[in-house]
Amino acid sequence: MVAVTNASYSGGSSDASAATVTATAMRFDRHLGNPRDDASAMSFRRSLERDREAAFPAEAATALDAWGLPRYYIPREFGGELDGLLLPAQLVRHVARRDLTAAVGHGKTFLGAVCAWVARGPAAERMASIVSAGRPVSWGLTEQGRGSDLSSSATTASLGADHIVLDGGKWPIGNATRGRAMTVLARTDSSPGPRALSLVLVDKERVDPSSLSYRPRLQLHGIRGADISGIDFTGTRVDAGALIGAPGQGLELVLKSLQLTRTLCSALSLGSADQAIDIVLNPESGVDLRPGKRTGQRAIVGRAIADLLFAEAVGYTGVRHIHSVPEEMALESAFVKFLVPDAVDLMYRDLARVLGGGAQVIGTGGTSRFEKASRDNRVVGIFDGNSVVNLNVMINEFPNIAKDDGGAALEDVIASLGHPAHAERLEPGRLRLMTRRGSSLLRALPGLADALDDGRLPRQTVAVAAELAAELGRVLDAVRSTPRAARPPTDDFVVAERLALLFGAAASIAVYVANRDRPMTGLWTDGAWLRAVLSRVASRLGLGSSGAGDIDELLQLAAAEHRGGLPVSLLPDWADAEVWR
Amino acid sequence: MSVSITHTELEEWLTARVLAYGKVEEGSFTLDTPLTQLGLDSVYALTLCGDIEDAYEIDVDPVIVWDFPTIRLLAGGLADQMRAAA
Amino acid sequence: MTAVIAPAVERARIAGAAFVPPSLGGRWDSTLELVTQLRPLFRADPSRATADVWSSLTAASAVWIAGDAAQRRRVADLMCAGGRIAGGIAHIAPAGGAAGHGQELRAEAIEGGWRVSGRTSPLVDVVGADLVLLAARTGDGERMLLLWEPASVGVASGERVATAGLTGCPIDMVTLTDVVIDAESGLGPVEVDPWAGASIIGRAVMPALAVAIVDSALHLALPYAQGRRLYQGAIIDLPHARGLLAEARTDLLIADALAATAVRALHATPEGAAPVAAASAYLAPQLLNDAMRNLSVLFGSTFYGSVEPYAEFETMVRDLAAMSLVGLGSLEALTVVGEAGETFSERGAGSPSDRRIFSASDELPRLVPGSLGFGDRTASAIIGHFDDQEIRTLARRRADRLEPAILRLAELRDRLVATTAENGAELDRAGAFALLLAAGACIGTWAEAATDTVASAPEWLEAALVRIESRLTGRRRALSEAAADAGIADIASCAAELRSIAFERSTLTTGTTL
Repeated sequence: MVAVTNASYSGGSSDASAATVTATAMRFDRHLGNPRDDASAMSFRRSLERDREAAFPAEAATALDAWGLPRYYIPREFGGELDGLLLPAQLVRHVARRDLTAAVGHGKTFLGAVCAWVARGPAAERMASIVSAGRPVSWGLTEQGRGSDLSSSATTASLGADHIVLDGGKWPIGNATRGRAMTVLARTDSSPGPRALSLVLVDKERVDPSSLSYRPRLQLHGIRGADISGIDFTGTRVDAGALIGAPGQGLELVLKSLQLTRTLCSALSLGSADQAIDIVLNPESGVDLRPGKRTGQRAIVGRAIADLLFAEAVGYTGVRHIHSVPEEMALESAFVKFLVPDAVDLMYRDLARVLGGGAQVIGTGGTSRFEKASRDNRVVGIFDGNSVVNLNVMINEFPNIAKDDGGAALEDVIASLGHPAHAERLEPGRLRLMTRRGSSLLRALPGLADALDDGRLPRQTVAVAAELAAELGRVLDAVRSTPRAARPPTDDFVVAERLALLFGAAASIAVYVANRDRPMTGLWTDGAWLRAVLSRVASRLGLGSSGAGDIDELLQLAAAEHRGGLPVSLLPDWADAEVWR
Repeated sequence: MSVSITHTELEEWLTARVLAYGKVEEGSFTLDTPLTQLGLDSVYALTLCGDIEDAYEIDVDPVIVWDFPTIRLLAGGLADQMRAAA
Repeated sequence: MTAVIAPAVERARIAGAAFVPPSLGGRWDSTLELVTQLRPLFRADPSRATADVWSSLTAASAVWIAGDAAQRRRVADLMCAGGRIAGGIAHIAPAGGAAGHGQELRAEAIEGGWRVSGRTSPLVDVVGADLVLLAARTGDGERMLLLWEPASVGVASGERVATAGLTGCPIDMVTLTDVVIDAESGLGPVEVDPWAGASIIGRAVMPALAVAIVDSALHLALPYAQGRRLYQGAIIDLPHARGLLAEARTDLLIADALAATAVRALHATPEGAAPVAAASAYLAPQLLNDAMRNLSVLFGSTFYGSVEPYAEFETMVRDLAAMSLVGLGSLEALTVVGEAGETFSERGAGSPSDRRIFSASDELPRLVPGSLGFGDRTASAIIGHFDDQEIRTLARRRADRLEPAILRLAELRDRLVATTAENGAELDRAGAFALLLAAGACIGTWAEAATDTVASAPEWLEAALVRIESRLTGRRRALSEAAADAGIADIASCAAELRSIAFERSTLTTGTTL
């Protein structure tokens, strides 16, 4: 048993806050209702129709606003309901389980606002009032022809005595057209360098509308109803109070905010994964999962479930660690943003194979939700830092990861992941643009592997964990021997991927060890989920055997949860089984 | 353990680091050339921070490389920080 | 605007005679030649091409195989005269309703023929077809194929099946009520449902055509990577981006080698063609989809946002994925490969490979559809091709890294053979055999290639074996910088010379540069 103390515990009844989190998540699930019910605000039928029309899911957005979801995007200190990020993550997952287009379209406001929470100051209050009014806020970072190279932004903001004038444009930006406001990254100094950029909150209700013009919505592969468009500023004038943070602080605020948003994107991927599993486990999919029949399909579906739970363990770890080890989020957010969408992309690829032609059909019955969910899903791995960008972040961190400091205290690593969370608060002041020594969780892998050996897991699983720990040693050797390079060779990317997978293994083991004696979900029976997940990670690293037996056992447990109306999840008490049964 | 170190020594060390990153030729830049022109873009420059921490056993906020964007300025900023810590 | 163009024949359908054997008055001499003719259609418009090719290919093939002389004559004459026969695809859960599994087409034997009722499998391009090949169950539970003339017999209503990709390929499910078909129009009973993609010919030909989609995509990716500025350079200068392109090209070539081998096997070793075709049908789409995945990472939001002038890439991604409708990537195909793999495990390679299945230049015997079979010898021989002494000597002479790579793969194969599959891991094992078969096909293709062709250069084979080994071991290995450079240089020269990247290096009909 591990005594749990959370460093950022800020008073009040810890059990009450955990109960509130649970109750809120359940209440939200009930409010959104059963998406199979055509009358519900977020019915599958309606979301498929909107997708067909490439129309924004307005009814869904209205329902989310009516319930008060935007309050959970605003930290309590600015008048909102946001304490720990796990709750908003679960709420967004509830939306994403029904329609990813709605989740992205609504959740984008958190991205638009987050820089203000990190900067704090007067802009935060201004932002809070816009968000709590239920209006969308965009994040205006990228520009045409510049891609992910934010430092080369050309949009300018001239800082006058009492006003700021913007010229330039941002594209492609979520909710650029339908949004009320945009946090714009603009050049405030003509000299080159990272301190030349600042953030300006452009509230369309406070500017001369004739100074704004728009670029048309993109025709999207998925989330077809989403507004991803562009905006141009021609002498757009805002007051000096619209500056978010200090002049020159723009890039710093953006990079720190990305550590939060990249981690939270896991909620989108997980909701998307929930959809895929729900489709496949549903009898009307035509997938025959009876034991003994078509063992090929069982193995693939079982493996997909292991991928989902791996993603969930990683996402959960990331979200919790924002509060317990914010100093490591520069690296950890890259691990999460790489691993989670990638695992879910793999799931969709494998499940498409099981569904065959059925994965391609458009319609409202049977498996026909799958093709939309699949197209929608791909957005998470592409926007706001794609896999290449995140691997590059990891590579830049190699020198830090390579530092040897004797390892983090295992108790702290485990304590940070005990569920449920006790009162957590966002402390943006503790975010750093680079870590000091990489990830303490990653370094703790050997200790975590040892901690698994408590006699309750099969020898085989303990051996796999030990093998993963040994592999970490080998990969760290590779990390130490790579020379520094501005344009890293492809081998570095391969090393970074391996490192990320090992981080995922560490996260999975840590989540398990932290909670193995607590009441969790049916998937924890005999450590089934961990056994399957570790086999899967080992196999993705080219170590270990397929763990076919573990995977099959996991499938059985997952199917039982699903029949009971529960999501396939490591975490209890966030979804209402009555709604989905 | 902070060793008393001169401004000049810091400048020399930083110059050596910049050359080690391999993007510029010796003699092609001065102590006042912006780091961004020395092949260290905003994000890559942050890795200098780790080297500084290793070499001088001090804790620095990575943004120091942004706030002091030339070798001369950075050496000055670091020297100030070390003096303050002593 | 695209870098790859529609050929002059463009929207004209490929003539029916192309799918009729010479013995019946048609032009289907060499299947490889047929593939070469059809690929430009797939480069230009995969939707339309699938509609044109699938039905003619599989419906007609089913008649060549299972039909009697009169039926073959009837269909051949129709097609040579410009008429069209339509066929179906595997039954998929119909949109908008409960799974229609219970609504399979039923054929009730009556005096002089059959009375047919129920819902057909999804049919491809059925509107306007002169003849439709239906698959139906009789009262005895047997499977019959029936030639139906829609124009002459009424009572049918159609339900369009909308799909995410290949959207220009019309797919309809037709409901028949008491349609009478005469006895002379019945074929069978047949063992195998042609629409489950189990047609041996379909399994060999379709993956070879799918290669053309990725060929187009690579031609589009190159100017994108060259033009896209990032971090004071172009994307094509970044090692990671170069790796993505080079890997995509390598996967295309592996798929091409495997698919071409399967197509040649139809002619040269028909009795053993099915497992090779199955390997191609299962694995080639994986490789091609992996290539598209690499390119979609390269294109990033340009892919996802369908940004011009590269919007077509997004369509290509969906179209390739949608080829699962015509059986590409099917688990049934993988099972066939698995069986061949077990035969190899028990009995070894047997006799050496018939070199003609690897060679682009050898004369192949006429296709005899009736002799196509599921024998394991051809597949076994290909998996055993690593052991061929001539091959090893050749490898040793021509390139440093080739022989060790071949030896490593042989070792992986031997280890695979020595172990037994865990319960539930059979598909993984089958997948491994498919990869080994692909490796054998690549090695054979290289060894038989005429000098001075790209296929004879060791660099592509080295890269191919790296990619295959990575997939077999699960340890991802990047291509070396030199390998990436060579791959990109090859893509660039194909672009400059307006040639396909697939081994045939056919000229792309016209050129449009961006």
